[in-house]
Amino acid sequence: MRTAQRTRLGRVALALTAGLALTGCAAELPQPQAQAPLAVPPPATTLEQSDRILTAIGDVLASGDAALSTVELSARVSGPALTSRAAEYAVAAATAGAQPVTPLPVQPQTLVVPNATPWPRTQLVVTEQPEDLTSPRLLVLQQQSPREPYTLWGWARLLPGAEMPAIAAPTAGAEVLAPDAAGLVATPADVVAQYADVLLSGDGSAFAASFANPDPYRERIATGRTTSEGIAQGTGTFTETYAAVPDQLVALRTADGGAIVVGGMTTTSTFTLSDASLTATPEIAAVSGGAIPAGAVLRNTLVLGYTDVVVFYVPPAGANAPIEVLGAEHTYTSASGS
Amino acid sequence: MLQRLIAAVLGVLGLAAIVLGIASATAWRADDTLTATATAAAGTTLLTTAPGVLEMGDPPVSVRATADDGTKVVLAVGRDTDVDGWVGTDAHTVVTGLQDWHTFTTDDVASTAPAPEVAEGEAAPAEEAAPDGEAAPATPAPDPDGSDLWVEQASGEGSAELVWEPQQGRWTLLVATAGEGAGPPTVELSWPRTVTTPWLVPGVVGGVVLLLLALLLAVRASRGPRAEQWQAVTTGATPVVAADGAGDAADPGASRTRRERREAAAAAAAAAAAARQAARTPRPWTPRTGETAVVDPRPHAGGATAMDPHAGVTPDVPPAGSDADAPTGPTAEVAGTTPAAARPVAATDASASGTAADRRDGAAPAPGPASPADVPATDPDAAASTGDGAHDPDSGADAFDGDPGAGTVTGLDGETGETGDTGLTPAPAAGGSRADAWRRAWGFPGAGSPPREPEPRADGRTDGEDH
Repeated sequence: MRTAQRTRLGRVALALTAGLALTGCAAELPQPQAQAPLAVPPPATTLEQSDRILTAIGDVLASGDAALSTVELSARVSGPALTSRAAEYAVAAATAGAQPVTPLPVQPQTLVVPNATPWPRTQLVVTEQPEDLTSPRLLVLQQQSPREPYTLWGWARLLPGAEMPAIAAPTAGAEVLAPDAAGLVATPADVVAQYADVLLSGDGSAFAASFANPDPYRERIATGRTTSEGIAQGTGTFTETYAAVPDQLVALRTADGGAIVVGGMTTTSTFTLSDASLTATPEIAAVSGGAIPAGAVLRNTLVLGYTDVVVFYVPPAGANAPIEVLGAEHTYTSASGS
Repeated sequence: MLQRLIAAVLGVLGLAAIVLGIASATAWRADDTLTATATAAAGTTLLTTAPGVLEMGDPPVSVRATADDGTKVVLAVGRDTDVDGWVGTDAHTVVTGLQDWHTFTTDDVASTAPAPEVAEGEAAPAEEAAPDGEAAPATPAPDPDGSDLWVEQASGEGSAELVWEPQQGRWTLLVATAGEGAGPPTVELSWPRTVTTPWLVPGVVGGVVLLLLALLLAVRASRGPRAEQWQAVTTGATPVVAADGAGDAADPGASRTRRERREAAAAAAAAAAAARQAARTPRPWTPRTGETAVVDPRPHAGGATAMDPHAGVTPDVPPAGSDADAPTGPTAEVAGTTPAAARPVAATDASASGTAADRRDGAAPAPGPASPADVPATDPDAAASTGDGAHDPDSGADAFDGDPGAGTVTGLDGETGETGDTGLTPAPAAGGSRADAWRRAWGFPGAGSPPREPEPRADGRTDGEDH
């Protein structure tokens, strides 16, 4: 009996040893185990990336500003921003610095980073207050396609008293809204178009009630127009039109379900002279791109084109609140006349 | 023989286990890094990793890419969506996992570009590498260097390296050769690895155990026969028995196992038989029993049984009186508390004895074997009722059992109570009773010897011991 037990024991030991020998050296190959995609897409850029992008843009702007040259700008500046900057350089050069370029700090105060979505991608940056103590800027950065860098697409000064609505934390990413996105008191595209009408018609506009009042930007535009009309008084007429630029629209969801909408606009000021003349100033000559030499005397018309960037806060549908203008930039970028 | 064979096999197995265990931790120990390489398909300049590949090993992952002819190589880590977005529709190679410990599995993705001018060159890319490679030069390979999409990047001529510390999210690697005439890049990823040696301890420990087992077997195998002779010598147990009284009681009893007890009993029986035959001295080959017998006496009645035979030989040996006394003291006390146990004994005795006359004898003997039992039996008789004393104890015991036997019995019970109890404790009595029966059957005087009754306790015990 004992021997039988021992034999069994021996067999077990043999089996164990054999098993050990066979399995000992066969570890399993690791397999890639990707984290599941997040339910909420992550922000398109990390904070480090945003900082890096802003630094790159700041460098380009700095060198461009120093040389008053747009040669290097195109790498990191595009859209309305490039147009405006180019005009500012021209004016600054023509006036020997009497009309300096708009300071654009790139130190971020607030980042509105969209979640990772197909291109183009847009993010908003509220900067620190510039050295001239004017209001902080809101920079619009855009990446048109994956292989292109982020560029400064536009900027706007925040209006006095404007409060940036709460947006998703930079670590989450803000939802990007389509121009016709619903859920707002008006679609982003409509907001800009309606605002153009309000600028033109003032309180007479059908949409005037939709927008907050007072509106510093609107008042400034109205004031400028009144002034120009006064100048034109007796010597001709002055008309000014406002229009939204359809493809210059950015909308990002805010925390309360509303949206920040950044829209490109143009303002066209037309002096029609009758029996009078205007002498083109250096600034006008500068932005005309050579069409109007400095000092030229215009006897018929002078058309000034402005490139505008307006930033709106659009409340969510159902909210009994007006659309606010948070910031705007109004730069004359073209001139023509005869 | 068989034992030796088994010992040898076990020894070999043990050695093997130890050697394998150690080998698994040395010669076969896995590398401290997990390193694998992959090369982009011919004709392509882009290689990416599938999500999760960068995290296949312990962090951080070290990435090194090389390209032929010192062309520019760029390494970049970005979100999977960004990398995919950057690669776009270009043909590229995706690293999907490990094929073996040093090679990645890859998946070649052909260009899905709609059909611009380049399409012609890349249309037939996948299969015909050569044409592609030559077609590529026409348009410089795309360069991801400096893109805002990357969170980590490195570039260099001919080779580039970077270290990636995994972060929350899905991050993938893009490897690209840039410039004109760029060839497919080769990438090598390596992760530090904590190498465990799970088989070392089990192997060595198990091996040692097996070896010990083998050793034990071998020793036993070689000593087996000797052991028997040895036992024979020991048989001299007899002297021990004589001494038993005091010496034995002291130590051995406790360690007995049931089996040993049983063997002891058997030995006792054998001894008894021997005794019967005469005063023959035990034979040398009865070893085991001899040994066991020695032990038996102290612990329990069995011991008594064992002694009985001897008693037969030397009836008076019982001087053990001292022994008896020793146990009695305690037993007597205990008795009161555990009467139940007593009955069985009494009952057995009674049954064994059968007739009243027997009882007389039987009663005496019954207790005899179990020294305590005797005491009670005798005591009650002496103290409580005369004459039938012998009966009384028995009956008393019965009454306790629950058999309200005879009225007289009952009467006695009350008195007997204590005594009866005392007798009980030594359960082993059975052996004793058997011995008694035997004795009775053969007419041995030991049990029934008159001296017990007349004598008070002391006698009773003595009797018991005699048995």
